Amino acid sequence: MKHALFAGAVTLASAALAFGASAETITLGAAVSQSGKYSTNGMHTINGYNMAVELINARGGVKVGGKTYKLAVKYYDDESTPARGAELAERLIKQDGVKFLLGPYSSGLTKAIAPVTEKYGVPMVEANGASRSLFTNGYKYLFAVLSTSEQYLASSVALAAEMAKAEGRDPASLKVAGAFENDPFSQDIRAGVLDDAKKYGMQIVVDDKLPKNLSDMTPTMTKVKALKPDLFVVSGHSKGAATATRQMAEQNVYVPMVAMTHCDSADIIGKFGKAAEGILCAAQWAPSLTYRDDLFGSAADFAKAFKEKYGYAPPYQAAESAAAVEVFANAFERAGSLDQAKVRDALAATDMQTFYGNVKFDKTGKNIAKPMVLFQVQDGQLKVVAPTKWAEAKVVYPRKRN
Amino acid sequence: MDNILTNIELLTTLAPTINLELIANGLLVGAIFALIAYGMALVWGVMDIINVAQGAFVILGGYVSFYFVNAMAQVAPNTPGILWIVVSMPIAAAAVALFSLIVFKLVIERILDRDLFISLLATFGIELVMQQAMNQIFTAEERVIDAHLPTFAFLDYMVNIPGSRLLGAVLGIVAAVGIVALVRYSRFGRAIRATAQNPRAARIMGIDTNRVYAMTFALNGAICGIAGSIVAFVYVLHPFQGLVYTLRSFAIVILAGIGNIAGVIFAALGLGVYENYSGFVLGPEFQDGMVFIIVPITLLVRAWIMRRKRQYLK
Repeated sequence: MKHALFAGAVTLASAALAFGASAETITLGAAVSQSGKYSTNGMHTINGYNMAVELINARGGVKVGGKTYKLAVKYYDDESTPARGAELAERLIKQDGVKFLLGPYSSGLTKAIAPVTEKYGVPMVEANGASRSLFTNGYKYLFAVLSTSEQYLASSVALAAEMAKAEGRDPASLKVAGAFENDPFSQDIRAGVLDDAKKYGMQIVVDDKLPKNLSDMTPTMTKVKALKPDLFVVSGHSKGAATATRQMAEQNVYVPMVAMTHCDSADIIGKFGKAAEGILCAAQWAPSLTYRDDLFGSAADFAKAFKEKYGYAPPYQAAESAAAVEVFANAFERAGSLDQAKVRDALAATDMQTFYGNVKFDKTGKNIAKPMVLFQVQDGQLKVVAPTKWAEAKVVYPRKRN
Repeated sequence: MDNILTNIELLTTLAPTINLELIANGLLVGAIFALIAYGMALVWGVMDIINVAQGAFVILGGYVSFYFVNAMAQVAPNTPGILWIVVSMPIAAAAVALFSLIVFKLVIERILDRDLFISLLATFGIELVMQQAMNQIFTAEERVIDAHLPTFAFLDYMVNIPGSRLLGAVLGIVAAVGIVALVRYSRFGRAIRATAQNPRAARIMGIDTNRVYAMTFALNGAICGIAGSIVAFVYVLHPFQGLVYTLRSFAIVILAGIGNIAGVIFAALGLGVYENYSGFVLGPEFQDGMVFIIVPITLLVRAWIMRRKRQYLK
């Protein structure tokens, strides 16, 4: 947290200086959570943005129509509340005269800010709002570099089907259990899983909604134990991942394949050790992937540089945030102008590879060029097991009994 | 709806043994809630203050315990973690009790004889400040203590009693019995009860009621500290997680009736079981709702009984 405050303060100061010093600066605005429940992930977001901005400036900045500009970000703290986020976006645009916005952290905040940027025709590249409902409103100025949420765990259904086939079983004979938090993000994930499970003809035996104030999953665990599914999918942010990992072990719940979101940010390996073994984790990005670009080099190079600078390994939230700045810089150069409509068109035409993955937007502004990654906890480490094209290890199936 | 029917079918015909698991786990969870609700009932009964910040105090105790256990694991890596967990409980209790005394001096003392609404507002404010402060200091990352305890399985793995929950319930009961004995048999406890019954009379008899209030509030802090260290190794710590415990203990105290200590324990155990069943049958999203629906129902039933009695007396 101190990091975030400090980083925020430094950038605010440097942004203010830049304002006074020269007109050769493109200022990007961002309302990101520095207090409230998203403050940890808000800090990852800010660090990702700062990392990219500083590196681009160190390399000479952005060339737009023969002129070179430095980048700067003006931050506000949205306090993890959507209404405050919308207010601050308005303030950035109208009072501070910011012409381009970077996204906040979380789908909820992005959903609050998008109508504002849309109203003023301000292009926004966001990296931390994955809800698919963001892309059904016909927004023209919203671009997202990350995969949308219904894709998060759908890949685990495909993987389960693949494993069943390898064993000579019909995928349609598989039983799926799911527990999803009652928020837009997790319910999107649920929709993705259910759609794919139906495609294979699998049977959904448990479909529980977890409350926001989750403290106990015992009833769900008891149900899963009684119904013996082949795949158990959990999505409840970090708290859900931690609670599910702990209670699965404590209640002796054994399912051959278990997939979750947020198990890296919940650090289930560090917290529970052996109990986490064999769990599959969905992620937007992994340092071991083979994507690369000219700015950061490979994904591993980014991870190394980030760790040197901020003292911790970058979670995907930081990586995708850095990628959003790269996409913006790329679009400025291609647009050859700082006219908002031209930059918007350049963004829409983006087709590039970054260290974070390929970026190409469809008409609704979501990135369709990058698949989700599935990790598995193997011997206390996260190993990429799917998609098979970038996999570094083979999936262990069925999961070992503790 | 289909889901609900399948769930009932599971309980009645397909796998009746899981009833035992639901009941056992409900009782164990209830024992932890009982401890927290007991503290709330104490403050409510003696000081006429509903402590909305109760849950935040619990979480604070959890963090104290978490950092202590982690520090000890660094200092003495070869000792069993369970030892430090038990040792951390009085430490968390003392820390939160001290913190409660400070809160008492700063805020509670000034609102003692104001109406209930003011005390709700004040403690709600304390909760907000505590949440954000914990968020800044401890970060929003989920924290847990892993007690590395085995799970006891019965009936072909259909009934499982996690060791951590069993330990939590046992420690919770030990603490509760100790505190009940303290209030019932010690001089300090007698002063608390006298003040609760009639503060004016207590003052005339030479009891420093303000001191009694301060000590009661600190005692509640100690209870929350102990409960927090149990929560840390049974559930998950998060700065904003306190509300769960505040609301549960509120429902329990209402259910038991204010001033009814034995009632608190039964209400808590019952609520734990009831909550597990409603989570199982209706789905976890209704678990909270099913807890709070108890509050108006209890109040209605109680009002109805009182009216009946008056009619009877007539």
